[in-house]
Amino acid sequence: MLLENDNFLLELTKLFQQQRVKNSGSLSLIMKRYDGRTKPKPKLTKKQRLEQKSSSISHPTTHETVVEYKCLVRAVYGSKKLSTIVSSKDINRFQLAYANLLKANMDTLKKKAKENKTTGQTSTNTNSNTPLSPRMTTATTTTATTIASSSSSSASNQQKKTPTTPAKRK
Amino acid sequence: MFIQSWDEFAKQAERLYLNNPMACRFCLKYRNEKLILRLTDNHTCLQYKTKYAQDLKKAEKLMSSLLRHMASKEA
Repeated sequence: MLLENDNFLLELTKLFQQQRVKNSGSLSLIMKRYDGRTKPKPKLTKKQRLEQKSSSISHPTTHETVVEYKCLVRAVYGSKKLSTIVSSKDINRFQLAYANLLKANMDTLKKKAKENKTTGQTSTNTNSNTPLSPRMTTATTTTATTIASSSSSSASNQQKKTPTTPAKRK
Repeated sequence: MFIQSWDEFAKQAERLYLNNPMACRFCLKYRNEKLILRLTDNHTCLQYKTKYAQDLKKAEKLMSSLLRHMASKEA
């Protein structure tokens, strides 16, 4: 069913509620760029193809036309299908509402289990990513600054840095 | 088949979409406490599976940026 943006969002909330109640079935959301055509693009005949070729060779095409694309959003739950078309002037409003909707309704996802890293235990991959990255960046920036400075001092600085990084990791 | 890291998925998704924006579609499937994201241009398909709420936020951001790009004016 093709609906207006606001109607689409309303119906989508209903679909989410139905899914919560039934606790089965999958809700699919699809986004695609749309250029507003309602008829399929016809294939060119041989004559038209030759004309197109010759015209493109004689004068190179300059893209002056401004094309305004829209976005097609579809939602499917079981046998219920919804769709809407968002154009660029509604995009701000729709995007905010859509994001809020998704965040509010997809709430059965689990929270990431954090392991305690007080006594130097190995933390999970995802958690170790975030603490590592600032450390890594600071290490690289400090080494970069040392390389920029004189070579003799850089060697000694790097020697100084390497014992500190394992100490930090602990 | 599924990409394991989010950053990889995001990077490849951007690349695939910018390569051919008219042909790419971004699908999101939500079932049984799992979220599956898919970006395909009918030649290659990138998939990401997750059960964590943290990834939903990142998916949100990616979706918003794609949505904006899809509905934008092109010169």
